Amino acid sequence: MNEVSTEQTSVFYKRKTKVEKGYLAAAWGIAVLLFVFILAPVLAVFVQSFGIGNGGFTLENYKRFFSNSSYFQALFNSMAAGVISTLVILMIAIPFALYVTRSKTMLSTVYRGIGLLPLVAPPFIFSLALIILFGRRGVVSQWIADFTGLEVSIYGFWGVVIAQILGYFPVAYMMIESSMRNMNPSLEQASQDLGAGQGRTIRKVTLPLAGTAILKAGLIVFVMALADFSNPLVIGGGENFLASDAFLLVTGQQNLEMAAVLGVFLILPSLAVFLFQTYLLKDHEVATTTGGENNPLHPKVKATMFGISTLMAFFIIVMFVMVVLSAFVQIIGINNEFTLEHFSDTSGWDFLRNSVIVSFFAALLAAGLGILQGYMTARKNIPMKKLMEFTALFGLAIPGTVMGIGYVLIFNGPPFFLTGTIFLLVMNMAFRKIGVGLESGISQMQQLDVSLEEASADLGSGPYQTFRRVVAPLLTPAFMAGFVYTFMTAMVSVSSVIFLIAPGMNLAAPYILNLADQAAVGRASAMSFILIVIVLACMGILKVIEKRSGSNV
Amino acid sequence: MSEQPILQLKKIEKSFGETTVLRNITLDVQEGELVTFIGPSGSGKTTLLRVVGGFHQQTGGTVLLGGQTIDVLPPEKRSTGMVFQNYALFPHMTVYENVEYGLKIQTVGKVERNQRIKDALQQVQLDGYENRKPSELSGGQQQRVAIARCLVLKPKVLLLDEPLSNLDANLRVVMRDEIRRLKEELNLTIVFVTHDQEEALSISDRILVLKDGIVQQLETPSIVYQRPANEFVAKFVGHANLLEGTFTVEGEETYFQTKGNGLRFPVEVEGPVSESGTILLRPEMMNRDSASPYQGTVDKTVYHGNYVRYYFSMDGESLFLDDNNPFHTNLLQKGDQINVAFPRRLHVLPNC
Repeated sequence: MNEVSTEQTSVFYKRKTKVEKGYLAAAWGIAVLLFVFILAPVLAVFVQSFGIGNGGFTLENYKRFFSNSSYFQALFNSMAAGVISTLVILMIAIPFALYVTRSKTMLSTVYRGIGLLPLVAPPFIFSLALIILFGRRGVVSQWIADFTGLEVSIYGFWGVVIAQILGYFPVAYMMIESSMRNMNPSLEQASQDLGAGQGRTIRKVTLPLAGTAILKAGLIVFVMALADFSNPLVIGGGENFLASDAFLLVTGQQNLEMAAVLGVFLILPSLAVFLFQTYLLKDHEVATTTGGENNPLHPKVKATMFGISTLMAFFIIVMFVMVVLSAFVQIIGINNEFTLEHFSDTSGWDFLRNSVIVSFFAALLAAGLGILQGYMTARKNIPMKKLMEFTALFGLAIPGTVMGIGYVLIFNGPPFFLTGTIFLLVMNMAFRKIGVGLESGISQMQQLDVSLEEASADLGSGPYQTFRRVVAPLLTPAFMAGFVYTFMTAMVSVSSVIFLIAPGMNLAAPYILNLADQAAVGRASAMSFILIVIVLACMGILKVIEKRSGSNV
Repeated sequence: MSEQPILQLKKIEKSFGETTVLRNITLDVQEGELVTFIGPSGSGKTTLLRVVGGFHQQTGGTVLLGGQTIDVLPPEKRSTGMVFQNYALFPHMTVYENVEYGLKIQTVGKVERNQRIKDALQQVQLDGYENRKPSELSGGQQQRVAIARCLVLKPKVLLLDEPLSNLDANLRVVMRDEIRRLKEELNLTIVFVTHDQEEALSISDRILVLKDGIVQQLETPSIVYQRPANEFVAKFVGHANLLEGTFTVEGEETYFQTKGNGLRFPVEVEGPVSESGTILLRPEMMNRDSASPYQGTVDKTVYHGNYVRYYFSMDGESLFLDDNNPFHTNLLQKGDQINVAFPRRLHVLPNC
C-alpha cells in the first residue's frame, strides 16, 4: 500500500514541474512579441541616440543636447512642470481621497465620479478647456480685457502645469483612494481609542499607512507629467518640452538621432522610477478588511477636506462644461449661437470609427495575452518567466513618445514598412498596456487556491481542459478589468500613435490634438465630446455585460 | 452596600436607521470585575461594546464611567482601552512604538514612558520584543501587544472584542488564562465579547446573554449554566434537553409528567410547584444505570473520547445524555436498550 502511494506522489510532482507543450509554445510566442513590440523599440532609441546604424558610435548628439540651450530648456521645463504638478496633485488628491472614503454622503460618490472623469477624455482636454477660458480670445480673457484692458494669455509653462494638474489628478487620486478605502478601519479606531484626535490619527496612522500608495502615485504622476506630450503642444505656446520637441524633431526635421536623445532623457527617469517601485518599494502588510466601514471624519477636519475637494471638483466640471458648450456654439465667447456645424466633420467620424476598431482589438489582445501570461507566470514553470514579466510591466512604464520614436525606427523601413497600418497601431496600443492584463491576471491567480486546479485534475480533466473550464471562467473579472482599462486608455491616447498614423489612417485623439493645435476650438470640442460619449457608452455596455454574467454565476 | 460601579450602562438603546440593535440595556460593572457579553451573531454584543468605547453613539440611555457620563466624549477622550478582534496593531511601528503611541499623546515624559512600556511588556511577557514589527510576531504575541498597548494607559475599563477568535484552539485556552491572570494581578475591569459559550463560562465573573439586542440574563457563569432564565439561554449556553410537562403531588413525592403523558419521574423542585412548566435536563445530569427502571432505545451514538453522547428515545420523547466515563461500560449501539437514571433536583425554566 505504502509503496504504491509514494510512487504516485513522485509521478505527480514530475508532471507538475514539466510545462505542457501548448503552454511552452504560448510562452515563446508571447516572449517574441514582447521583444519585438516593447524591448526592441526601446533599444532602438538608445542605439539611435549614439548614432549606431547611422555611421557608427558617437556622443556627438549628446554634446549637441547639452550645448544647445533649447534642448536643455526642454529638459528643465519638463522636469520643473513634472515636479510642480506632482506636488500640487498630491496636495489635492490626499484630502480628496480622505473626503470621499471617509464620508458617507451622496455628494462624496458624485465627487468620486468627477475625480475620475478626466480618465475618459483625451489627455489634452484641459488644455483645450483652458484655451476656451483663458486663451487669446478666451471667454474669461475677454472679460478681463473689457474691464481692465489687460491682455491675458494662458499659453506657456504655467498653462501646461495647470493642464497637467487637472489631467493627471485622477491617476494619483485613484491609487491613493484605493489604499485609503482598503485600510483596516480598526487601525484608526485603535489610534482614537489610545487618545489620538482625528488630526493626529491622520498624520500618524492614516498617511503613513497610505504612504507607499502616495509615493507610488507621486512617482507615476511625475513620470507621466515629465513625458507629457500633448499639453505642451496645445498650450505650451512654443516653450520647449522634451516629448513635444522630440515629436517636432521627428515630424518637422526628420532628425531621428536628436529625437532619440530626447527620448533617452525620457526613458531614464521612467526606468529609474519603474525599477525603484518594482524592486525597492515594499508595501506595508496592512490587513485589509471586507465590509468594514471607514471612520467618519470629524466635522472640522471634514470641512477642510470638503473645501479642497469641492474646489477641485468645481474646476474639473467647469472645464468639461466649457468643452461641451463650445462644441454646440459657433465660436464660444464671440458668437454664442447654437449650432451643430462642428459635428459635421466627416473625416473626424471616420477617425472615430478607426479609434474604436483599433482600441477594441488592442484591448482584446492586451487583456487576453496579458492574462494568459499572468496565468503562466503564477502557475507554470515557463522559461524566462521573470524577464517576460519585467518586460511587460516595463512597457507600461515607458513614455508613449519613446515608444512612438522606437516604432518609427524599427517599423518605418525595411523589412517592415508597417507605419500607417492598422496592424501596427493595434500592436502598439496592445503591448504598451499588456502589463495591466498581466498584473490583474497574476493577482487574480494569487487569490485562487491551487487546490481548485488540483481538484479539476483529480476529477480527470487535462491541463488545457482545466484552464478552459475552471481557470478561464474564474479569470473573467481580471480579463474584463484589463480590457476596459486598455480600451479606455487606447481610445484617448495620442503620444505614441501620433508617430504611426498616416494621412488616410488617422485616429480620433491625434486628430483632435491637431485641431486643438490649429485653434479649431469648436471642432476639437465637438470631437472630444463625441469621443468621451463613446468611451462612456462602451464602458457602460461592458458594465452591463459584466453584471449580467455576474448574476448568472 | 456595594461600591460605586466603575462602569454603568443605563437604558442603552441603539438603532441604525430603521433597525433597532440594542433595547433598554442596563448594566453595572464593579471595579475588578470581568463581564462577558455573549450571544449569537447579530445579537448586538459588539455594538454594545462599541457604544462603551465611543465608536457608536447610542440612540438612547447613558453611559457612566467612574460615575461621570461619557456620552458626548469621542473615543480618544474616554479612558477605555479597546483590544480589537484583529488586534489593529500599527504595521508601520515597532512593538515599542505601538505601546508608546498613547503615552506620547498624553505627553508622558521620556523616562516614565520608558518604564511604563517596560512594565506593560513584562506584564504580557513580551520583554525583549520591543524592536519587532507586528508582522514578525505570532498571533498570540500580537494579541499580547494589543493588550499591553491598552494596559500602559491604565484605562478604567478594558474592552475586548472577540480577542481570541483568530487564535487556534490551544492558544485560545492559554490566552484565556493569561487574560484572567492579568485581571487578577492588576485588578483590571474588563468587558469581554465572545460568541464562544465555553470561553464565557470559564473566564467571566458575570455573563450578559444577549439576543436580538435584548438582555436574556445577567448572572454568574454557574447560574447562567445551571439556572438559565429561558429556553434561549439554556440552549445557547451548553447543551440542553428541555421537557415540557406538568407537576403532580402524590403524598410526599412530586412527579413530573411530560406533555405527551409518556415519561413520568419523581423530582424535587425549588420553591412553590406550579401546575406546568419546562424542565432543564443537561446531558451530563443523566446517567446510564442498569438498576434504573427507566428504559429507552439508543438512536445514535457519538463517541467524543472523554464522554459518549447517546441520543435515545424513551416513552415518546427524544433525549440525549453524556456518559462521562466511557471506560467502565460497554459502548451501546443503535437499537440497544439504555437504562437511564434521572436526577431529582431540577431547574424549572421561568414561564415567559
